[in-house]
Amino acid sequence: MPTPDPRQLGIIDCDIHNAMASKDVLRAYLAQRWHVYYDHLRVPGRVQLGARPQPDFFRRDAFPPSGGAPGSDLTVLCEQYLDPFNVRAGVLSPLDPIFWPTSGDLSLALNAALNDWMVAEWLSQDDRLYGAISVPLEDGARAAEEIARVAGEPRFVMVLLLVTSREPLGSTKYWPIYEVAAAHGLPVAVHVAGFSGTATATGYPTYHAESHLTMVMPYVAQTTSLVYSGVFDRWPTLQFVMEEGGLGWLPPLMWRLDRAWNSMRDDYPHLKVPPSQVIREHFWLTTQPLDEPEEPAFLSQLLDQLGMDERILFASDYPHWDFDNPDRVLPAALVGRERREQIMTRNARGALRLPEEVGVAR
Amino acid sequence: MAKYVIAPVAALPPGTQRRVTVAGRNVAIWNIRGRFYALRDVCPHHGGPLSAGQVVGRISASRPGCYVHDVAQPMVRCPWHGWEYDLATGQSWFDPRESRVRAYDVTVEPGSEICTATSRQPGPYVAETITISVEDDYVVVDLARR
Repeated sequence: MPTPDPRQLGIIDCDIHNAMASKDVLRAYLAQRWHVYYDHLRVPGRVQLGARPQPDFFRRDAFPPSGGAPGSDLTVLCEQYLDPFNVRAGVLSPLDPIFWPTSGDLSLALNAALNDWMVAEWLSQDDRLYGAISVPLEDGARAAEEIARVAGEPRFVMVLLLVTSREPLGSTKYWPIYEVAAAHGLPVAVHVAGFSGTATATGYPTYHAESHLTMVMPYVAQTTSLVYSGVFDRWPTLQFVMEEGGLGWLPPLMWRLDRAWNSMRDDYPHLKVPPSQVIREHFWLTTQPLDEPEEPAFLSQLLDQLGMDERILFASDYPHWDFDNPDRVLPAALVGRERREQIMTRNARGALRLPEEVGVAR
Repeated sequence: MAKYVIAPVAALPPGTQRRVTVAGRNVAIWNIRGRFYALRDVCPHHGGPLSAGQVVGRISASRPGCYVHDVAQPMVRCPWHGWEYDLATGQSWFDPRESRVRAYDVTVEPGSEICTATSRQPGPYVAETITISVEDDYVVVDLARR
């Protein structure tokens, strides 16, 4: 039986960024008591990461004619992306929390308002849309409270954390998040950015090309931290989706971790299986920005080395400038038709609690 | 015949940048200070619409700190990933061997010449004639390979 064309099945996109048309939109979902705080919100220590290739990280053609930020207009999202590329399911992750406080009552109020806005203006408006739950990253107790509050909404399919955290994500301060996420069958997505720490292990870069490429680095540290933290013994069903780090950083990390584990088992007696096995049982990766080696065959080899064919999830990162066109990325000639089809249309069903009919041929 | 009449010149004034569909193909057209350019409106990289891109001049430098920004050699940056193409030739600046986009000849021709019959033979019938004249100049795109 011929492998179906992903375009006919409909693709599943695990990383789309919707946005508010303006800051004011959130007020309708925010208790009056917090309005004056919201008005005066300033982002402490925000760093400009070089001259951007396109204005504010966005595709130039993604600015809605109605005004407002790219990703703020559902009609434009449908016309420009969901419809022409036959997206069956798109997971929305708003990135506003990057610029908000990450702990405390104000943080909780803002994230809760954002989650309510997501349900009212996005998830309930189009059958194809799913969402990530935004939480106070550095405040385990409040984050857990917020996840528990909204997890009953079936359209929320993941919890969203940022990769730059104040402590490594394996730290017990984040465990309340993992406990409630695992209880509800929600994977924890870890996405680029955040201002809790520095962007790299070596301070702030100057040029945008530097910061774009070094987005990868925190994923190495965070994955290692989680593997050695014991969270997977405690919550055997807990899953993580590493978003927007690409794929190439992981195979060498798995080799290195396995060697270290093999020769230093007394150091980590609680880890009874090789780290690479832990990774292959508890981690997922999204494709964007896809590694595009000069020698095309290297991409196929990279996927072989990963050994995670069922755990690679397509993501476009619409409407950012480094958006991956679903029709052009992962060409079947390079990665094989079967692999392309499963990455674009099927794998996400294993990671996310999507309805039965998503991903099934129409 | 590979030449297609797009519009009267007045409809595409200097500063125009837009997509037109010609014989089933999307073509991006620019009028930059009176000179017309046309490229296939599909970026060779990932298919982005060049008609929505930013026009920049060509930058060159004889030595560090001394650069020339030549607006007479305009280039367009794809609105998606920023690949740059010379508007006149379609040549990619970054990867000239591997990446170029089809550029089309664009000319401005008087309407009176466009309307002239060329290689037809006289037939047996003569229809009643009504005098017309064509006053304006028209923009014409030639889709033939260069």
